[in-house]
Amino acid sequence: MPKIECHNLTKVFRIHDQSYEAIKGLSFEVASGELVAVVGKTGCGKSSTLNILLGLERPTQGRLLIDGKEPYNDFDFFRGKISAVFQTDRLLPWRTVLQNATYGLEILRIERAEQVERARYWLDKLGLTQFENAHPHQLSGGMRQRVGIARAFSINPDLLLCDEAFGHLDEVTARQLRADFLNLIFETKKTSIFITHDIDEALELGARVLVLGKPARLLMNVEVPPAMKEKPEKQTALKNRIIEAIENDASD
Amino acid sequence: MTPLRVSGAGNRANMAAEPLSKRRTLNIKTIGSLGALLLSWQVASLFLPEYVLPGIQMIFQEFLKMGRDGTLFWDTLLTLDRILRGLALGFTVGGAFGAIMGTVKRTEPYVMPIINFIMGVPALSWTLIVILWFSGTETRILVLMLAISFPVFAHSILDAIKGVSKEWMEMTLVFRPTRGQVFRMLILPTIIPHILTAWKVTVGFAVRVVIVAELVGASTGVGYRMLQQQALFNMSGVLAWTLVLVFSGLGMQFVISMVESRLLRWRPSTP
Repeated sequence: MPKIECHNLTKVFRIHDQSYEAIKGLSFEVASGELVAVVGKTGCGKSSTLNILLGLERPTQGRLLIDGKEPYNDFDFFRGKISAVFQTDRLLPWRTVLQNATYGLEILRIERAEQVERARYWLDKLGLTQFENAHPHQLSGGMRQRVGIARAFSINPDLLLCDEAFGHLDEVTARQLRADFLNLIFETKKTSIFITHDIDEALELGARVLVLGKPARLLMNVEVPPAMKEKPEKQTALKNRIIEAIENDASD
Repeated sequence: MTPLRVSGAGNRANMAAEPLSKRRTLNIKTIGSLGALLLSWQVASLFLPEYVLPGIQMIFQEFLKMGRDGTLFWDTLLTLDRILRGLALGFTVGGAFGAIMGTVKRTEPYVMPIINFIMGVPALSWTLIVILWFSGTETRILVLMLAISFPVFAHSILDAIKGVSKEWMEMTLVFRPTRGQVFRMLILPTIIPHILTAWKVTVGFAVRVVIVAELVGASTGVGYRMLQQQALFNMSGVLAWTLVLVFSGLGMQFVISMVESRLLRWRPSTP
């Protein structure tokens, strides 16, 4: 059974008696342990898809199942099973770095000593050990995002969802963070979905890339062979195909 | 050594030193201006009759007298007790209304107009109304304090709850917290600064209102003592009790500020 099954998913918003389709018949599957990048134009319904995956929004039609359960309706089933890294770090300013990293573990009522131990393990992996008592406002943007990643990993989730996680950072910082993040994913073999509008980033991160149209539905589903990862020039052809697919979809 | 630098994290001494030195210069300025006020007061009192402007030494003697007969301590304590009891009740009731409107959104359009109406009634009207409606000084003042403070608390807590970041809420919900955890770990820390600000505002307001209430309807408390002194044409007494009030209000606000800076230590040094 695939980890995630998304079948004919549709999401319609009603704003002032006008309906607006964010997702229109989106179908895809993600197997356990896969790292999938989802790419699409800004405003193509990527965030709605993410919110449905996180169980924060209810689909209008169609079905999205994670481990055979619906994230919205079986909300509490996913306690401790899902983590997310967002575009902005979403750290709580009154908590220290360490306290931010233990946030999820506190919610899961993990024993205090273990909370600290697990959070420290991830902070260490992300190079933040010496800053565990600092407050978020004392850190740079890249380091804050690292704390966000530590917070997501520390609960040891089955599924990790990332939404433009490096989109707010400068290119140099983003590149470093992307590499570190990939290492952690390979090391932990977590099932991950990485949502981005950056095609290069999608090709670099994803073993498979799902290309979405607007409103969100599947335009392309491409494997990114490991050989291609090492030689960026080989990606160019694939990148152009993706751009073309998105452009041709731009019927609006 | 390390290429990673954190602004201000390594040198806490600097962070602590800056606001301190600011506070010190502020104190010098405060003392300077208050000193000038006292000096001109003292000079003016030499040229004016005692019932208009008594000298500072007269007011000081008045304080000694109030201290000796116990009124300074007991009546001040009584007035403060009335204020704090009333505000505690107002905070409980207002907080409950604010929390209900904040969590069950459809109640706001029904409840808010009533709260705004109550807030529109002048404090002086409330004073007369509670005297007609209730008997017993303590009940009257308690209801008065409730009436003037709970709308303020309701407003500020509603605004605070509305202001809880949607982003933080989503981040928290991904971990599947209980309702209690959401309240304790996210909502409470974000609304505390608003609650403290509301307390500072209402304390200042309550001091002014409670005096009027004691003036018209009590036989104890600072307001009543003030009225007594006025009946005796004792200006020094009136001024001494006035100072008690000023310092009570400022004292309570100072305590709240202390609590604030203790709870909000995480904040970057104030802008």
